Amino acid sequence: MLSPVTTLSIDAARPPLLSVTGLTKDFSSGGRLFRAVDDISLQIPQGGVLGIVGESGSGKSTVARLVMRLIEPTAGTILLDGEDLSAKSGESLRLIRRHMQIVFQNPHSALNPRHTIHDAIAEPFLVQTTIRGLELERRVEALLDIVSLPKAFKYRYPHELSGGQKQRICIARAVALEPRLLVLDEPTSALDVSVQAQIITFLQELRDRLNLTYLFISHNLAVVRYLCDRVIVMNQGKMVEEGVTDAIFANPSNSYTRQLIDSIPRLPQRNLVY
Amino acid sequence: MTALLTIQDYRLDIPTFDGALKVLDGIDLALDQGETLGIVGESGCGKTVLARSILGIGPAKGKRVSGSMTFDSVELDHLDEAGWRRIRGVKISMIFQDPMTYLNPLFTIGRQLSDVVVAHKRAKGERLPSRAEQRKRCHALLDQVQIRDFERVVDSYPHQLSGGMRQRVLIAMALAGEPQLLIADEPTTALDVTIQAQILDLLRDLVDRLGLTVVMISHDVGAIAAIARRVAVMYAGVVVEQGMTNDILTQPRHPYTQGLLAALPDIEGGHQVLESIPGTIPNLIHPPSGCRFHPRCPRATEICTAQKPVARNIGADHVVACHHALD
Amino acid sequence: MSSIDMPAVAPEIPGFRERHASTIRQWRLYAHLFAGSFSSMLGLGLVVLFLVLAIFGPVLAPYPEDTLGAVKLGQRLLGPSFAHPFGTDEMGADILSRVIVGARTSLWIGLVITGIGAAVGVPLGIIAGYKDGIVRAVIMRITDLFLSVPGLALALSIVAALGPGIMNCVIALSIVWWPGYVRLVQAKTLSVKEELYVESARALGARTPWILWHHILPNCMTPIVVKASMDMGMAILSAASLGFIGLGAKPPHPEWGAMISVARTYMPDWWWYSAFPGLAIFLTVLGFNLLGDGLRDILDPRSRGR
Repeated sequence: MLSPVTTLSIDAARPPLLSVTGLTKDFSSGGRLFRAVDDISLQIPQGGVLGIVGESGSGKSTVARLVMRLIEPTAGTILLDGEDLSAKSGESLRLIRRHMQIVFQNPHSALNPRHTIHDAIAEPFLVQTTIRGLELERRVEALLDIVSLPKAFKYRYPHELSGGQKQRICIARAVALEPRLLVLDEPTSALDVSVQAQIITFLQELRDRLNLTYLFISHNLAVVRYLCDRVIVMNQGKMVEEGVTDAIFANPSNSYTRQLIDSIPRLPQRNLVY
Repeated sequence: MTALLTIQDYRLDIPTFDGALKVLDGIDLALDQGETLGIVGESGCGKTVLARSILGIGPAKGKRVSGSMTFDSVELDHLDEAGWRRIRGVKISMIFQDPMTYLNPLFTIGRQLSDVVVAHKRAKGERLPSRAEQRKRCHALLDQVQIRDFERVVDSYPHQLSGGMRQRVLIAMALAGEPQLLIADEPTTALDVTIQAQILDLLRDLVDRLGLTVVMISHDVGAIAAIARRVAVMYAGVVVEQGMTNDILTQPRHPYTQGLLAALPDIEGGHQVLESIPGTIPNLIHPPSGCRFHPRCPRATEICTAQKPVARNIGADHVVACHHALD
Repeated sequence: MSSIDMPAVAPEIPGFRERHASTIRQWRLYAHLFAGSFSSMLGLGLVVLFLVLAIFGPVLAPYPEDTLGAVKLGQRLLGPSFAHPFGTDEMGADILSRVIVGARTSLWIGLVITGIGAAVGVPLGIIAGYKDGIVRAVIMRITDLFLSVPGLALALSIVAALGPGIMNCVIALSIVWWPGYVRLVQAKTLSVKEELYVESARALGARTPWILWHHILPNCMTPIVVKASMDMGMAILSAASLGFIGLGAKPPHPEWGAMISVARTYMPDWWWYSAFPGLAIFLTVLGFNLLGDGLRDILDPRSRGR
């Protein structure tokens, strides 16, 4: 019922949904150049989930913002479904934003404290479409339903919601315009484990239901292992390893990756029959 | 043998505009000398309020409704400021989640550490150490937390050190008074995984070497498992289960503990199904009747809504507050 | 093909109370916090008293004709009495009546100066804070230029150029008032624009005016409201100062500053003549300042969600 999205079939001849080549970002601080992201290339096929793991300062969140064109890359190209994002600016960039959305790490600051939940979910429609009035109300309620929150939440303010509920609102905003690419920048890092589990299973369901493609940024290796098909390991702006998730976790070829995996405290194996 | 720290039926309310938040509801904990206790729970479960209350730095408006805390035969609830000064930093020390905010950005590490050393000597009424003695003591303290490049670190300002180094400095400060009990409130949460592993190693080493008694608070079951021999699981202001860490993690009896563990994605992979606990944490102004977990509990029955479960010992040092612990 | 299922039924709209439960609770909380502070309530009381006098002044004044310049030489400079609680002036006019009616002059002076200051300063501040480069540089340097000259001195020279009179006095003070708002709002905008929800709106493809209006401005309102409240007092004081040195309202127009200006020649024997208009200025400025302080305390985000 929403605006038509071209049907995408898995087709070998088709380019990947997201294709990034040679992405580089320099920041200058105090007159000195600092290379936050150094020559990153990645591809995500339609419907795929690519994880980027790394510690703080690895540049993984900068990659998310570069892909979203929230900051300008120093070098590199970003192709979304064959269209060159890096060449776009102004109105054409604004219009293509509906096809790619981002969910941030901290749901507590990603929602305007002066807006009701209704305002937050209605915002994508108001800025990108001409949907208004009763139709807008229906859309807002449908989205609340999708993220499993009661309709009455429309009238609440963010500070009245729990962290997990706020993150669901952020996800509702992000999927409102049925984007094809969803960039998830540490979406569960600010949440408790039981809430994290809710959000992760929910993200999985949502991907199947809305035919989404994920770029999943996280420092939590266990979550990445659970959710991602392929994974990129970043350290100090550089890509140190890339491959199929299970293969990398089972047999990391890079010493940094191994150190990262070995640093996770292991739990005694659970007795699964309680 | 009497325990070093005993908390009995401790209840704490925080009055707010909408009514009193019942943040701690009858906490019973005991800690022996040389023991390591982990308190694990999600945000809002009261673990930090509990830990801070042990040091008398709980919420400013918090009101103790009932119960007591006894440390080394001293009733903590009746201490005045002078009494607290003989406890804080001297007998009980604390380290915090974000080391940066607990270090003064304007002074060097050496200066801040020396200040702590001098303050403790003064509190104990001993002779104040000379400059050389202070420096020697700082060296020993930093050595204890495995900081090897002493010369560089003492003359550094906090912002010149990495997060891991700052946390080491904070641990050194906490150890300066040779405390009997160290409370670690989410000591590794703000750190990267590789640094987190180093700090956990350090804490384990200190426990082994100094025979330190530790209460470690964390939402991270993995970090708790790395340090604590015993663990207490908290939910909505109640200790729902406590016992030996290994028992709790391998054979959890409380439905909340089971749910919490099932919600953890496994780093070892395997085709695990991630389970989540339905619902959200309750409002502590009007907490659920009976068992505070019952609205989210898969095993809840009528008795759970009517009666608060009494903590029962169901095995060798394994205490569960659940009506259906043995079902 | 993906699609978000839409319910067939029209959404139900619940009643006003349910829809605005959050807002009602928030306002009740504000009221509760505000009522708990003695100084805030005192400030509110003084401001309400001032507003009542300003609105109903001519009705409340016991001798309304005295405020228009009636001359009753038979009762010159009478001390406070039952008939004239604040005494009378050198023309025999009732000082209480003139103080009451003077409130209206002060109110509109304060409102106009603060209003123009905010109306000019807030948009400039938001633009200067949100845009960088040349736009910010130009706005901020002009602002600095105005701020580098003492406000009252600048206003004095403007009035001197335009000629004395209450209207010119208001124009002059408005001209010197807006830069304060630019500074305040620019600083606040700089911090608000770094918030994640602003980045989130950009990621949605919101245009700059949308972001400024829906995200930046509402989150800058707290300091603006607090400053405006305090500025009401300061603007009244400044206008009274200009009146006092003879550049503002002219006698017999009942303006507090001008009244004190005339009264100072009658000090100290006829103390009531200057004391009561002075007290009126003092209490009004105090009231607006306490109100502003109280508003700052309750509007502080840390008091939210309590």
